[in-house]
Amino acid sequence: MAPPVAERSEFARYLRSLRKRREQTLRDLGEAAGIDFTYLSKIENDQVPVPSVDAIHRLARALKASGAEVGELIRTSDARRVDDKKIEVQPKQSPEEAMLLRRIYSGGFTRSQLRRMLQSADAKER
Amino acid sequence: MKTGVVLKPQHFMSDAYLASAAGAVLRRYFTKAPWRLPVNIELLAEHLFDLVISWELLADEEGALTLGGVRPRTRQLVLNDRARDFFEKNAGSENFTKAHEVAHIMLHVAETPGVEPLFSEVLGPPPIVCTSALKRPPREWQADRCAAYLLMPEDLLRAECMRRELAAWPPMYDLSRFLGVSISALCIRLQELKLVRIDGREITSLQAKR
Repeated sequence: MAPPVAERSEFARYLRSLRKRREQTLRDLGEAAGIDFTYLSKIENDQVPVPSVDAIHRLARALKASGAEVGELIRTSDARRVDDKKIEVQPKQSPEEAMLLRRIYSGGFTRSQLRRMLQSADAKER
Repeated sequence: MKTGVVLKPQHFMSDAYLASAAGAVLRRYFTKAPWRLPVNIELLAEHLFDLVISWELLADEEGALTLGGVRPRTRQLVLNDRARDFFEKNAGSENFTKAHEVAHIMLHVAETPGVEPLFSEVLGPPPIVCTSALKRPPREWQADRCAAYLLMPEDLLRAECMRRELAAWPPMYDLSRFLGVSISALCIRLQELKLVRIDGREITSLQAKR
């Protein structure tokens, strides 16, 4: 199951927002970039590792992205790669754990939410 | 205040209600898109409902191929990777499935004010799963009807038919491909609107030409 919208990586959300702004469907962009539209949906839903730099450039070309937008795509994809590496350090991790860690690394929780989570985990242990 | 999402209890919905619900959504859609067919249901889903399209591997449900579904909590419109062959062999079925899932969000999911639970993926409403099974519970039937109204709105469909000679099957198939609906869905809709009469393999256009 894919993570909820707010928990998707910045890269996935940014790519989708660029596509939406151009009013392109997954098929439109997939065909223009030479990427299968179902694979593109998996990229936008963080269900596959971040695509290669070459694929990101093809997507950027197909989106007719500006220099600043290409830069942002590269920056967010690099950030996602770093997050993936951090997450990969953990052996035998479930998708839920990876999702949770990704959200923690991206600053997706407030301190009070983190505290409540810890309390809930502590309560479960007892 | 944050909102949660719930599945509405099952209600009777008249055909007129389903048509008017689809009409209201299309009026919003056509403020962003040109007032003409075909309706791009994927853009409608993404722009009006902020649904995220997600192709995934989904398991069969009670022996029937799962075509798609919606996850209300995550606002995902999910399509089954394993149904790609079915969608390719049955022209219009992919588009109709998307419209059907949008209809579920329109008709069967409600946002409720309240505090969002922290682990809401667990506590949120269950996903709605839709299959190719012929036996349709009321919710599925409602979503089917609403999908037909979304993809084939009466006024625009009548106008489109005025431009076409629908007295033979090839132009009927052309129109179904143009609208992105199956030939059977188109036949049902055109007969309802008394635009064609179908008797076996015979097809008669009932559209008065201007």
